[in-house]
Amino acid sequence: MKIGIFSLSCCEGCSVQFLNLEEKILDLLKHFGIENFRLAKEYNEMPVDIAFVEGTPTNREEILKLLKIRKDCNVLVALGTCAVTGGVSAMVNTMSKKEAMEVYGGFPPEMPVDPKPLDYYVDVDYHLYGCPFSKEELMELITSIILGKKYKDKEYSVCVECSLRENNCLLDQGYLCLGPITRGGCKALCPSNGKPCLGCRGPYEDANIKGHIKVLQDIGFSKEEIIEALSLFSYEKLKEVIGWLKEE
Amino acid sequence: MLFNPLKTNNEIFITNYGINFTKIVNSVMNMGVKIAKNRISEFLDYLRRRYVLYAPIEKDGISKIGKIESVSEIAFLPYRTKISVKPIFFPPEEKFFKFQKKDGWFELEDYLLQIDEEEKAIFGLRGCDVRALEVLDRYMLSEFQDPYYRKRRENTLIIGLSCDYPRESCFCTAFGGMIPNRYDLWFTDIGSHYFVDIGSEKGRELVNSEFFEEATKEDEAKKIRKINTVEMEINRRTKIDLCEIKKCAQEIKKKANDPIWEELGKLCLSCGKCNFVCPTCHCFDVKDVTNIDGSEGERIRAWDSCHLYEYAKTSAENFRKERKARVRYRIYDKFVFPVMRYGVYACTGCGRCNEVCPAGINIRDVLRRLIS
Repeated sequence: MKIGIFSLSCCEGCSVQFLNLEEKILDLLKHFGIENFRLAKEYNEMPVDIAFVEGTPTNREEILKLLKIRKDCNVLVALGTCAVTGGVSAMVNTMSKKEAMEVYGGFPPEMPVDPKPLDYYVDVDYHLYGCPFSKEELMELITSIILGKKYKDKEYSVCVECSLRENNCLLDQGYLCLGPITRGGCKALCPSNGKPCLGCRGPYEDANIKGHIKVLQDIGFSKEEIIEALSLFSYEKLKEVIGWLKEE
Repeated sequence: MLFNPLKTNNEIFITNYGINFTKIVNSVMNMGVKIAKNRISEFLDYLRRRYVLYAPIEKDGISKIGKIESVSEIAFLPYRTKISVKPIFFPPEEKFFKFQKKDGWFELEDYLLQIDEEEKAIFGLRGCDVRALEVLDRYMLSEFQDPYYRKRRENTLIIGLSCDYPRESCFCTAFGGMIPNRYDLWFTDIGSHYFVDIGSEKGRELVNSEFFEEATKEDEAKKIRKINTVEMEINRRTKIDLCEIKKCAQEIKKKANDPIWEELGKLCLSCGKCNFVCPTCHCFDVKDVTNIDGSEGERIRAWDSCHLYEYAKTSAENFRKERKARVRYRIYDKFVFPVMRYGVYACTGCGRCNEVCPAGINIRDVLRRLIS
């Protein structure tokens, strides 16, 4: 099977994460040929069987590129938070166009489009969450594809993995932790090292976001602080809730 | 046969699990002994040499029951540990076996053989934890036997310790108080000494060692006073009357459509913390973790939580999609279903779930509302 790794607007950290697989990448190469990988290859080819797409389209050209990738691949995997939720790029949607332009000191040569998750433009077969994505989950997905098993998204929160690691709860210590609404799978990396969850994996479907907002308010966080935390990685996914919170 | 944990009738307790929660000799007949506090570390060292000793330890603000290498590691806490004794017998992640493809066949290597057949002694367990072990034994060792649990659970000596004062969230008096019905030895702090109740033949053998001395009537009175004081303190904080077990279960069962579930469903964050800290929760998920081409891998059992969306997901449908249904299920699985099946509550009043819930759901308040 041929695979390709494609980048839209992003920091390309997920591509680097691919290289971070180190010796596992050799395992990977026994089953796959990497045909398209701008960061690591000089000559890139199309079409591919599995396309991993990181980043989010921010202009017309990139949207067309994404549509072409979708046409030329069998399986499209949204790689990392930017591709899944719009990520940090989507934070720009919280401000007005004019405000955003000022950052670059004037109008860019091409009119940018609002950063959106890949789902907004094309059908996405699998999602790999996280900033950057988790290597274990990538191997899980690839194993599932090879063995013909069903790959399931994790429908539970970071809290689950955090409490299995017997950590002290950061909410109890007064941190603004988004663990209870963020999709698990990262093995609670940040909370285990004493840093609150920023929600880089985005909210999971069943998350009780309003309930968590209430918990945070009870701890003493202001509306603005909560909105800022929620829009850091998942503004596009949480638009409605954030709107509701603003009006409340 | 159903039994009531509140009415102690030792005969009924002796079930045939084959586990030496050793038969209670006759706790009334025991005069009891005592041990001076300055000899306790000698006694524990003696225990450590004869058994694999487990006791409360505290690290980074988290107290749990852990393996003891030297007696100085033991934390003498005035109350129960934050994490229950459950992970010692039923770890969060357990590898069942390893499989490997060889000449078209799969070769298995069972990890059951690698579990140490050690004689454990657990010192410093509280009533809530010991009761929880009784409940776990029912689930894991009666109808369906779990060999992995069994191997760890066999040959375990229970040496309990009464609490000096309760934690904020404790309510063990609703389930029979601080001293459970089955134990080997039970220590109670009475000032300069620990009063020691003997609960089994094995316990009696241990007491015959040099460290113990005969207790007087006065010591026993002191012990009773101590227990009563602490239990009164728990009752003062939270009085829940659950005594008529069957009636109570019926009462709770009737409240299936109570508005309380809707309210709790809005609060609950489905984080599963209450399940993981609960000393009697025992649900698990079994999965295969393989290498990239499936030629070798491991079968792993990991704890699961009934609060999670995927818990009740089947090939046909998810029959507890709504959060309120999941919240209700957990309460029912503590106070209704086990009563119907085994005649016991699967809650022991340790209050750990109250302590960890980020949404502040308090099982005591829930119960109080359900019963009233």
